[in-house]
Amino acid sequence: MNTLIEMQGITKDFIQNDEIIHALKETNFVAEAGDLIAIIGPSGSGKSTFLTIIGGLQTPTTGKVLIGGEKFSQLNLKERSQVRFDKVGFILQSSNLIPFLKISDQLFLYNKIKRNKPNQARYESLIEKLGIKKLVNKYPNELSGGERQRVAIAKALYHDPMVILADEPTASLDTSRAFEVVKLLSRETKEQQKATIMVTHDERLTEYCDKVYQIVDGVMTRKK
Amino acid sequence: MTLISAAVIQGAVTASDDTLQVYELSDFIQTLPGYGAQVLTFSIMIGFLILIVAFVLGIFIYVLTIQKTPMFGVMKAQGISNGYIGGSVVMQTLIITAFGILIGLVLTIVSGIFLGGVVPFSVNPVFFVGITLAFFLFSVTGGLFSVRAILKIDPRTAIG
Repeated sequence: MNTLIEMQGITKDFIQNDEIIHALKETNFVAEAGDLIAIIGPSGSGKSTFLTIIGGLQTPTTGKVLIGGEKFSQLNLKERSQVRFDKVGFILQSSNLIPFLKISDQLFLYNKIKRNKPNQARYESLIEKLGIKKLVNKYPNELSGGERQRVAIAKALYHDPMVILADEPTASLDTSRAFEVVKLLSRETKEQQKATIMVTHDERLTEYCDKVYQIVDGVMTRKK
Repeated sequence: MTLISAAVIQGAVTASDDTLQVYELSDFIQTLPGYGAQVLTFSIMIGFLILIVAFVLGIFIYVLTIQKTPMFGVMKAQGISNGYIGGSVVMQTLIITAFGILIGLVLTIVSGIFLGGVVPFSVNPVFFVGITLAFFLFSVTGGLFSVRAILKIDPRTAIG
């Protein structure tokens, strides 16, 4: 199997009011190509800490994160930001779309920053597969919640990252839309051989996931 | 008894008697009662008006950018560099300011055309250039303050 991202002996402690809080206790975690992994747990359990550490948004107290076999968590702020830009795709709760850009430009923003040409073939295939072809000339506020999350998935996949990190991607959706989004996420993860890690509090969604981990009080255990 | 209280003459004064004093025209205007005080009052009013507008402009640009903090948090989480975001903010500030000043200048000149006959109105190029520069300076300063705030945004805010 092809390991895309892994955590080795990660812990995260905070100091709050002179008291040490173990937000994440010793955690080892591996995500392989084609894996859709759900992280479930009550709020305040350490899910967000897990996601921010694996995404390089904060550094662990001990241990390390490797992405594509290369060091990630030990890099400095700027280098981590660069690695995120190239190798990680984010799908966030309320959608990570920029309000002033048309849907097509949301995707092409990546090329604008990279100063290269849009990958037209990849763009066409993504908007086709995610069913957002009719929306490309609209702005995010003209879209429904489900449409926005489909665009967010397209945006996260467009630059061909190794890993997709999704933070409650179905939070604002009703059940049928939520299932639809997770199914799409599962299909794209398999087809494109990405590793997708989805933090959610909705346990019904885990039926589409290959692995399920639960975090309770900073301790992560495999559920499926 | 003096028959003449004052006379305005174009060109040099060649003859005068002891009862009359000779002034240059510009010095004479200054001696008119209340003239200096009035001009000074208006100049101060106009000057402060411009200063306040420039200041408000700077604050406006700052607030405009700060409102988008959550969006910048998301962009930073996605790995878009501070340099790119900061550069875009400054560039867009300049574009907005340039358009604003251009519209302002056009409206000023149009007002001048309509007011010309009724209200004394003059276009002083030196003032206009000065005011334009001040507006640019203040809006870029506002932009730079917001860039400083953007640098401090923690991308973690995008999650949870």
